[in-house]
Amino acid sequence: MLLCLNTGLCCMGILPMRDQWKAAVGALASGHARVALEKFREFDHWYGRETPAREPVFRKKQLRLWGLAALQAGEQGEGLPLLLEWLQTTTEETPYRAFIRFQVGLACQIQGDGTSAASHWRAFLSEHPQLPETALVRWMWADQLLSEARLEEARRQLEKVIEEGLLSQSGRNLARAALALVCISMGDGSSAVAYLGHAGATDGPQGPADLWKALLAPALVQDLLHTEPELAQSASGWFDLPENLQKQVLPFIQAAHREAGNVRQAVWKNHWQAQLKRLQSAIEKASESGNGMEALFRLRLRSLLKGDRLEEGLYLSEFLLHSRIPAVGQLRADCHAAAIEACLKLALWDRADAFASTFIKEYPEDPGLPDILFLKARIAAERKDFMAAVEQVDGLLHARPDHSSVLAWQMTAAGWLLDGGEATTALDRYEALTAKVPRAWLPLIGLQRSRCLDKSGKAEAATSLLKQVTGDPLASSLLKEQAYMVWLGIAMRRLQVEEFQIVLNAYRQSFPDGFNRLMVENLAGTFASLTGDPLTAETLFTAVAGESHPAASYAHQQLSTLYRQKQEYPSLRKHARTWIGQTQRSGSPIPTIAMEDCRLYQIASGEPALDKTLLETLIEQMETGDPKLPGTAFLGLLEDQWDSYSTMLGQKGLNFAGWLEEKRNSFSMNENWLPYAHCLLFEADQLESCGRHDSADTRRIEVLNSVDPDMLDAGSLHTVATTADRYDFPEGVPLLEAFLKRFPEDKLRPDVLYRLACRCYRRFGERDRAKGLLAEILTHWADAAIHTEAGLLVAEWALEEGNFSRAASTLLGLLEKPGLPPALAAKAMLLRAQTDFGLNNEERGRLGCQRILALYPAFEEITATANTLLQQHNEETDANDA
Amino acid sequence: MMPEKLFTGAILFLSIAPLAEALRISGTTTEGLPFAGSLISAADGELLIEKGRGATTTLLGIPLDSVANITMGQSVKDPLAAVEAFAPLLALWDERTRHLLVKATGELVESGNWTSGYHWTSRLLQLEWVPETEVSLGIYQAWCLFELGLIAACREALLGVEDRIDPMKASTRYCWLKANLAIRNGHREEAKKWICLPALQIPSQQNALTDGMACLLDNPYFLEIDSELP
Repeated sequence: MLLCLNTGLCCMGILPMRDQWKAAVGALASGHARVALEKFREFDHWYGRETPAREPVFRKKQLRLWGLAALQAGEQGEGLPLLLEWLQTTTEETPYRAFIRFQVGLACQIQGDGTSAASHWRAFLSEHPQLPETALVRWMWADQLLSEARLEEARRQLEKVIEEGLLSQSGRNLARAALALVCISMGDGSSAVAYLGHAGATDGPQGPADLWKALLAPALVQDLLHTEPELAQSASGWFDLPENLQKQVLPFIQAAHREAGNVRQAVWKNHWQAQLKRLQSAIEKASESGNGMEALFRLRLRSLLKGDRLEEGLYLSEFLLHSRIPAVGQLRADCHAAAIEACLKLALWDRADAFASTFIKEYPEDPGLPDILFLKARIAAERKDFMAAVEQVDGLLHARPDHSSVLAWQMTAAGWLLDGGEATTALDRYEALTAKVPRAWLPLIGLQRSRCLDKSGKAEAATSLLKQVTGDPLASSLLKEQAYMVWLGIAMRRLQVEEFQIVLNAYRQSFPDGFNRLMVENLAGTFASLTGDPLTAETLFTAVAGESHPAASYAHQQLSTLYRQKQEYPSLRKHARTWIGQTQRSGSPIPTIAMEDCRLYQIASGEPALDKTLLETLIEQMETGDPKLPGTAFLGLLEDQWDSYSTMLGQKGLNFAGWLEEKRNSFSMNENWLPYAHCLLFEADQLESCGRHDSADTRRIEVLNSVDPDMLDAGSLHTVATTADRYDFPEGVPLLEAFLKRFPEDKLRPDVLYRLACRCYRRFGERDRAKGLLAEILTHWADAAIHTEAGLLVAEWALEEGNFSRAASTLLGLLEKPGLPPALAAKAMLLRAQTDFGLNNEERGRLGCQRILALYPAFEEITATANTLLQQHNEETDANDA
Repeated sequence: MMPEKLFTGAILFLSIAPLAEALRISGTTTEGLPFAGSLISAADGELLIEKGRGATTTLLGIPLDSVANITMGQSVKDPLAAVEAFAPLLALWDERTRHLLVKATGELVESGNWTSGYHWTSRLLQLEWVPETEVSLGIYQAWCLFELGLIAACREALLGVEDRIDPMKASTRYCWLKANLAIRNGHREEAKKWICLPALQIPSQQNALTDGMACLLDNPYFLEIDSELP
């Protein structure tokens, strides 16, 4: 009776030994682990000491089944010792060994005994490397390691899960997602993107790995936006809404709950269920966090802009503005801002302006308005209309004096003033800001002030300020490097050999691997060249030219100039060939200068500069319409030594004109427009040299109509743009602007800037923008042929506006220039005299006029004006005296 | 005589054979009375249905004005063929049947039956629909017109639904149509925009159609248009 009352005991009492055993095993097999455990306990209690039960084979069986029943009933403390005893006593390989090891490892893990679990996982892997469950073991081990914050080891285990390839494709994909989660925890977003990128739905419909991708994408984009925008952009392609994910995960969870066929399947099922449960809980959390549609679109916009996918950013903004999603809220302002920024980078000024104006007009109460107003100012600045930009920022500062970005706006406006040539005003603004900005900003302000001082002709003060910046512990390395470069620039302009060397050595010591190292070496080379040390210059430029860096292009150009000056034609040819080879290897455009160098060599030596192999490569490039080949220059090269080249090409006997015509017709027939354009431009140059200007222009205009200007090289685009400008075609301004956008460093840039400035002023009356364009010539292109004309124009306009100090400082620089042509010198002196009168510097004004009359009588118009000016001021003086 | 009669009978049997699988329907009248049976005809303002089988067959005529709605039987393989002969009933079919028809029309268009597709979309568009279905039918119709080379009509069909389409939720087919129309207008930039749209939506759309759209800009129409420039 007492026995019957004990919990768990069968109400029918204790069964005979054989039946008791059968009942226990039967209960375990039918999934009643708790009943089975009680039966095994009773069996051991009543019959454990019986001889049959102590027989070793039976004992092992009992240990195994009793232990498993205990584990399944959640009695790890009871089951583990039994199974461990089984593992110790059963040394031979049995079908159960792997299963028991797995169960023991799992039980240890559930109990939180990581060390024991790890030892069992290790034993499993060494004892059963051939089993697919090794993948499962590694995964569970990784989970254990993650719970102990041992991320690196967990990552290694998961990597092996993928490497060993024991899982199905979908299983591996899910493992990749798990690995990506570990990478995110380790702060390694780029690896996470790589793993998730491989866990794609390439082999079928969307799986759980894709849901992980969608779930993790927003965090990854935010993480990588600034450091690796391309990866961020690719992750933004995985976005989906948490509510969609919730719907999508349900079928997987239902499928995972289907009945398992056997114990082995049950083990796998449990694992997948655990993984899906984790996914579901992550999706639920994401839903609660409210990462809605607007936030995702905002992130996608930012990732597109950061990843330089500007056109797509612009399209998305436009579509979003036509969509019902951003009806209110921040997304509307963000869309406008993104569209403006994309347009700015794509040089679509009018569209940018239209976006800004629409927003300003339609949403005057929107909290995003100040940012859009600032962007509108930026549009003006990007168009080089710095004064208009500053005016707009001043208006914004007046309207929103408490905005959080006030200081940043003021700094930017001062920078625009400096870029626009108003160094004195910019200096005043920077000085006013010094007291307001946080301490960390002071080095930047110091650098900008020194630039202003330098531009205002106060080089000493600028140098002393730069000394402070380079020694400021709060200045970043990059800022210090920039300060050194400005300092070197000042020393170079003033030809201070000792000072330059000291600053150069200081830079080299401080930044042996500096970000601007190659540019500084280029400066050193230029300085050596200027100070009559071509050997040092050559050494320095050769070292930089060997690097794969944008600075190498400048070094190559300088080497070309050096060899040309020294008339070392074999060296010129050798260098040109090296340069061409380097660009071909790096896949960058072949420089026109290199082609011209080859031609110079041909003229000097009478021999072909290209060998057969290079010639064939270049011909192939031309025939395939490769935009990297400067076709016109190449044709010039061919024409010059056509006898030799025609032999190399197996075209002996065919004259160049015939060959060119044949090629041009073939390009036209095959609609291969780029080489066709090169043929036409080459012919135009030839016609021009024969004085047939109209025929030359006809061909240039044909190029304008037949080829996408974006495919043309700098020289060809310049020709086409200037032709369009001369004929006052509507394409003129867009083409000139396209040139400025595509070729920021090209030697033809100052000419384009000057043309565009003149066109803006004369055609559209945009004097401020024109001044901005000319300011770039004065600031960055002092050695350009057009520099003097640009300076004279700036001075003339400054005089007209009554800004005598600006006119005086510009003219001072011009009149000091060596080798000024007489006509320009006369005009500069006349403007200077007018400025002197404006500044009440009567004596010097009169002296200037008299010098013009004495030195430049040939320029009648100028002398007449000088005469009138002189007489006028003489009369005024007489009247005043009277 | 007999053989001739037999032959005629065989012809008659063959010609009525399709009707042997008559369309089973059920429905209610405007007065709330239910009816069910095999649909015989829907002409002259009357719905004729056959009730019962064999000797107990009765024919029932209900004025169309008195029919509130009708439902199609469950096991209709081709709903469009089944209702083809009963055009006047189109507006009387219940919601489920109408959606079956929309689905079948979609399948018809997807399988490239442009003329039938246009015919059915036009018929169905005369009914009242929730905006999503109307938009979907409008796009199917425009697609048929486009494939039939009726570009101006296609543009017009799209114009009818455009204002109800949110670009961020637009179907890939709609984007494809817009891109193609832009190409035919010579608006390369506009075409590019529509080609990019499926990838910009959330979730991004990627399928065989979007893959194909990437090649649209190589369309010879562009070359033709470019060559016409002065």
